Amino acid sequence: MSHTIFGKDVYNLNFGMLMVLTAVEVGAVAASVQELITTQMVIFVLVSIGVVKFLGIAGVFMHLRMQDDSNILTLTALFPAGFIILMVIFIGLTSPGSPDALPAWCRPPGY
Amino acid sequence: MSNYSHDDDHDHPSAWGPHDWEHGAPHNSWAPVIMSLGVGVFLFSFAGTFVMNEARNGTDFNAGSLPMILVGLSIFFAGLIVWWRQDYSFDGTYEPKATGVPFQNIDMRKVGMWIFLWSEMMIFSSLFTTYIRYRLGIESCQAILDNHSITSSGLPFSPGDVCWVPASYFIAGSHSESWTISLGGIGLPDTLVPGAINTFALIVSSFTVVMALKTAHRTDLEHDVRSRKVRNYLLATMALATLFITLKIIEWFFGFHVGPFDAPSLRDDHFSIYNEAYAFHGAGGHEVLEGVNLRLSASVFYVTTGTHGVHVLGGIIGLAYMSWKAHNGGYGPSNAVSIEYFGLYWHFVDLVWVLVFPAFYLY
Repeated sequence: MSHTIFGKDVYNLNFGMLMVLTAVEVGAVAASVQELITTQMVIFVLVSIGVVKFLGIAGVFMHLRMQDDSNILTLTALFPAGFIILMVIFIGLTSPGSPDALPAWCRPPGY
Repeated sequence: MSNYSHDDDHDHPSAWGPHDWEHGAPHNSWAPVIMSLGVGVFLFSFAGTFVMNEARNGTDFNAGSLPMILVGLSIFFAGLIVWWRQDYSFDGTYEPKATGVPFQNIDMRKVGMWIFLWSEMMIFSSLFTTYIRYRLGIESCQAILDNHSITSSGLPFSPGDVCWVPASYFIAGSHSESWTISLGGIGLPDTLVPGAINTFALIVSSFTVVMALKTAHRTDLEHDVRSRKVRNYLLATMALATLFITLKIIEWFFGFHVGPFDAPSLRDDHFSIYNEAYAFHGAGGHEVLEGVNLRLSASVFYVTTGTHGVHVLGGIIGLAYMSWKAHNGGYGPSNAVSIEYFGLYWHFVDLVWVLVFPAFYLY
């Protein structure tokens, strides 16, 4: 249960990193609102930090690293990840125009 | 952990229960299939319970869907009984291990929790996919306004037009009127404060769960002291989760008017699935748009953040039970897996928020 990096508890380090990165996220948006940085820059910051925070929580807090069963649990997570990738590519990134274009059976009554 | 042995050749547990746990954990059960079927029937029926009535800009209650809702719930509870019937004979004296490929010798409950989390990943992925599809597929109201000056000749919209406005327009928009916090010349709109506090609250709560687990594993503490510390960490987690839900409700319905902060609620900003009048800033100035259909924008926001909020609420219920159990000395170095598995769920809830916050609140 006890894991360290450079003599520091890895959970404490991860917690500190998450807090700092979240502050940077909020700061980037505040700067964007006042037009100190461009929208493209703030999107880059949000995506980059989101990925790092995701890895920090999943890898350290959820033990997908540093434990005996970490690798097999991480590998099997690729199963739903495959479906998610398919869903995002073939549904999320399509632009059929409007929901009205959906077939009737796919819409709730009244739409 | 003890005396675990499974004899596949001689033990054929019933898929309906009850089960003889002397031979290890059962491998077969109809309960998940039955419960999934019940949830499916329930959700499909529930989706038709409230039907949009365009004439009066509201919803009608459709009583015709009630029978199938009851059928769905009945099937679900029948599956629950099967599950209970298989499990109630287990005295909890050992941690059953999974035997199927590829999870051999991993705690069965841990495998179960991860499979549950993967199914949760699918749910939230479908919500994010919906968000991406509509956000990319529907023209931005703001872009339309910015590209067309508001003149006396009228707005570039016709009544009923569908366009997209992100919730961040109201939450982190430059039109916010109150800016209490300013650090180094960079101001934070008051409307963003509740969401920002919630983000930090969830991260801190993830850490307090980790601390509860670490403390439960400590052997250098007296049992009473250890139990009290574990309980306090769990109570702190529950308090932070309650703060999250409270701020969410304030943000949606009441507005954040605390001390110097003055932020209207999303309802005050008319960001709902019913309203059809929204206050916008265009190149030509501030204008209220009548008749523009923003229901999709609001629906996607409320369904996604609401689903996440329901998960936080479920966590609060679990934390209440675990705090009570810790108060009664129920956790120790050899008995803390419940905290670990709950922690997996709670970190997942935090993980989803890591994506929801920038996607819905900031961008």
